[in-house]
Amino acid sequence: MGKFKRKNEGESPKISTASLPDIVFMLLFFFMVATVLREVELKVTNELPKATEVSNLQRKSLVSHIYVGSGKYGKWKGEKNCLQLNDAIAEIKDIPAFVLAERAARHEDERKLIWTSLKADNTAEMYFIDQVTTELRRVSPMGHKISYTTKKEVNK
Amino acid sequence: MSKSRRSLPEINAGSMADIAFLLLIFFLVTTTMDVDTGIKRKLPPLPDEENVPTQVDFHKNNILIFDCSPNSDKILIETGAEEAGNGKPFATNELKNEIITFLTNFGRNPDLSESPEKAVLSIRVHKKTQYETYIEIQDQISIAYKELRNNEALKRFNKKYENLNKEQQDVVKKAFPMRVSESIKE
Repeated sequence: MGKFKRKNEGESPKISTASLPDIVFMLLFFFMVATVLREVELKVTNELPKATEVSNLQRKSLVSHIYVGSGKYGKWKGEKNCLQLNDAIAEIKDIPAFVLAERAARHEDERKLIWTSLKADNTAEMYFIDQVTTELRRVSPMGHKISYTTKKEVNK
Repeated sequence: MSKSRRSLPEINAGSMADIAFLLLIFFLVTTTMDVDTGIKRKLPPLPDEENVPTQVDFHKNNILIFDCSPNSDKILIETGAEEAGNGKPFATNELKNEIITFLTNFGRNPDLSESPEKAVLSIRVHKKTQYETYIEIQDQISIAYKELRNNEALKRFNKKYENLNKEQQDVVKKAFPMRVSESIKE
């Protein structure tokens, strides 16, 4: 068995890990490009409905979000039809102020391009959605651009 | 031998991978993959004293009503020409064909629309109707209009609707304007 004699016995050859950082950085850059930062912490359930004929919302900076669903924490836990604006549970009457604040935060030229993304839970009831859209209509004398946010479903 | 002794000591890059992993995990946790997709609509302003909706005298047969009650997965479709409450039940994925027949009737059937320009689709929801059902109807309407506009675009310009320029799209849109009304029932 002594035919092949090792040069440096007892020392296994080292695997070079010099390219490991490169690989990990590649992964990192992929994730940085392909994902977006989570905007808010959801305080309501948000199981979005599915639809086939959907379009993407471009320009994330010009989208304001309204969430509707059942409450998840605290005194709203389990309560159906809760509204979340920014980071907190809100009431219907807070919507106009929210929309106006969203408008004020944008440059004057871009205010007309704001889309409201309504992210409502599957189980939300229509009377509540109707109250939300009525408030949106109230603050927009020129009509309000809304996107009923859905998951994309591949054609059946 | 003497050369290697003179060169600068190598910086250990072994921890570089750890740092990159840390960053990677941070991004994995704080970001989301999904892009916002949705059904786009424009909500009309609320009617008030200055802005009274014009009362147009239109024929009742130009309205198609989708009635969705909360405790049934079928949607009742009635045309304005029929007596109220005589809707026929349809599954949500069958709505598209009904909408297309209604819109492209061009006065052949007196119960259906006169022309796509005059037709109005009306969604009548109940208080407790689930949002999911409402979205399904909106989706079916979108699908129907997309198909009709695509056909029209192919007929007029020999191109798909999405490949048309702005003016051409407006022409097609004018032929098939989407007019949806919504109401809520106690």
